[in-house]
Amino acid sequence: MADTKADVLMKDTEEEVNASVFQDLIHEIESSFSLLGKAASSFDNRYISKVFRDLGPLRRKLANNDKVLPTIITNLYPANHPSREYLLRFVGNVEKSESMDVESENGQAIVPEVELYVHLLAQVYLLDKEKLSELNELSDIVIGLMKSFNRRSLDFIQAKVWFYVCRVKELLGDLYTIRPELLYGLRTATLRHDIETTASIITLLLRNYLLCHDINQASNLVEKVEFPENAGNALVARYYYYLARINAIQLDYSTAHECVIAAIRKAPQTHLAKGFIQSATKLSIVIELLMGDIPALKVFKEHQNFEPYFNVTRAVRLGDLKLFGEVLKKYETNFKNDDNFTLVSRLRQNVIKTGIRIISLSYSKISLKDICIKLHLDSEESTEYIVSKAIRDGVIEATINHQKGYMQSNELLDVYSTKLPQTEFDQRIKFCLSLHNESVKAMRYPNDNDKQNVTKEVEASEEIELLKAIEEGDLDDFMD
Amino acid sequence: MSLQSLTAEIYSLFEKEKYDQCQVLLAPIKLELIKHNLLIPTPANTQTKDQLNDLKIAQRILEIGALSSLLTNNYSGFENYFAQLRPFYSNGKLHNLNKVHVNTDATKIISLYLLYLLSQGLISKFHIELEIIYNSNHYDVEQDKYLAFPVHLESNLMEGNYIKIWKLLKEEANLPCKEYTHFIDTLITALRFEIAKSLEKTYESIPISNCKNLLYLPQEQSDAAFEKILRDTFEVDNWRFENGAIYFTKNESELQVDNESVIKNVLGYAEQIESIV
Repeated sequence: MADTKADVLMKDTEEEVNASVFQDLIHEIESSFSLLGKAASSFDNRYISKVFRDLGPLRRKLANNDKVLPTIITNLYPANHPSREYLLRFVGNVEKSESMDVESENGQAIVPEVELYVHLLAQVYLLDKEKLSELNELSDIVIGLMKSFNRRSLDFIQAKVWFYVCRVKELLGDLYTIRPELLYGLRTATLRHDIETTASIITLLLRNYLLCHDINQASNLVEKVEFPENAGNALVARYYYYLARINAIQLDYSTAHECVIAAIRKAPQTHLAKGFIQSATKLSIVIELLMGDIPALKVFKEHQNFEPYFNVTRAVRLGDLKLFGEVLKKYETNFKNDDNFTLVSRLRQNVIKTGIRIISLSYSKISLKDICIKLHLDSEESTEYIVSKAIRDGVIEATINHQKGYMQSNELLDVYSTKLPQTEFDQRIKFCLSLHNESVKAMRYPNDNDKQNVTKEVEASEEIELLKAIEEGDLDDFMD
Repeated sequence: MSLQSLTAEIYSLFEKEKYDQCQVLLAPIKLELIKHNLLIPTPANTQTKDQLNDLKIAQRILEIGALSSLLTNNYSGFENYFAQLRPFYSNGKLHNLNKVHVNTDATKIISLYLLYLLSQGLISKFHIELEIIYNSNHYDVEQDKYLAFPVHLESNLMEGNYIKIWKLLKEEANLPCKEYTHFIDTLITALRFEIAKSLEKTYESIPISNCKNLLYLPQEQSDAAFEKILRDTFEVDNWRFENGAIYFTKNESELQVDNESVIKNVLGYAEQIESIV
């Protein structure tokens, strides 16, 4: 009997803990509602950034507490509000006893910001619970809801809502039906100069196209739209990543390289964005190899699971065709999972070129026949063509003597007698200068006439917290 | 005329290899197809079995359109038909997209399109197509004799393994089907152009007879005729023909340091630094 008693006791304490967590959560969400209300009245989007900073932890807590959302919804909406009914249907109803004594604010009208935020919470909750079909149903309603509003303070929330709308479609494997809505949303957002939503939808569209491997569409889109300059860092990083992919497939490696580097640099440096940085780094390794460079060893040590890429790099560096073939075969599924297979298989020609380069560095004069044997090529004739192609592509500095059948490397040129160092230097100086200019531009200056008001209204500590929120940005999306 | 009789007629014309007449007939057929809502597969017209059958016929008609335009040298027509066929090929209800189909008419048309892109030097478009092909479950490049051909061609071209390409192109037995012969001439010209560009960078001089060999031009050809061909087709202004050999002059103007740009750069830096300080 003692056992059961203990059990009951345990249960009691557990319930107590649950209850307090429950109350905390309700409180947390309600305080975010008041922040959203502030954002709406003061037109300061920084409050929304602050709300979103807490969204990540909140999301996990929500998933563990099934009853919180229904309670919030019943408290927020008056009984006859249309949203109340369907939201409750999706997230699950509350038993009567639970919707007890919390004061309801039925009297006042609900601010659109809060309404949309509740929808967003419902989306996140359904996604975590893997109730995809419900979420899909909700998506349609939310899209309709967003169309009915036109407030700048909604921009940040809308951008996020779109993300989850697309995410569920992706999980359901239904990529085509959402496109018209997305394009329509893009048009509206662009017309309203709604920077966040525009940027968000552009990246979502690109992702959609790339998942279908529809590079044509994607590059058309990139050509037509103008990505907003001031969009959040997370979105910019994503945009550059997609750009890199598109350019790499179109063989424009140097642009692709610039883009992928920008993506890695702009990506938030937290553990949430690890997956993104990893796939971006993988892409950058492949692109560097395609450009004929060898990525630094450091890159491979920083990440786990980079074996396939490490081995490919080794094969290219050694110029060993046979090894390359083996690696390609062994890790085919890995590359296919990363969507890099076509790019990696293009490396074959680079393997040959590095082989030739190594030979040309080691020998000042070598017969074509020896090259042929060393590189496992088919015949002497084909070697001559391949070497001459390498010379033409600027891989090596050499000449061939056709009659006697040998390759002669040119004397190494002193690079400091050319313009090369100068252009390299020029590039670096320009980069530093533009970095400086951009950071000057990125600083916030309060308007002169607002100065006095601002200092009074926003307490110093609050200001700091807001700044923190902006610095950290909204990184939540990177979790998927 | 009804759609049935038109279809029957174009089938027979295509059998008899009267491609010009096929082209004439295609315009009215396409109008009929539009009237019957068969030009594009949509979710609405892929419901019943009859509709699917009709669409398959429509696909065949478009394929005939593509092939006959190609064989009558109407390249833009070929491109158009290929664009129209694309939704057919990627429609899950018409073709089972999870099973591998090898050596079908669809892959034949796609590979002809790839060859077309190659012969026009549109490499980046070629790779965009390739991306789609490699990532769909129903194509297997290595197993498919049609698809493998342009893919190997391209990779050899990029490696500079011209001798392999030459062998591939020269022996008719290597070609998977007769339509490919159509591209051979353009591809060979493109190939020679590539070789010529490599040659001028690689050699200081080369005997004309060896050059003929390397370019796969007949040895019997007189040197003058050879020179004329080169000058006409392959932009070889810096080639000098002397005493039975060719000399390549290289332009070496790049070594000079050009002061103007240095001054411009330095002034630019000064300006920027002044604004910072």
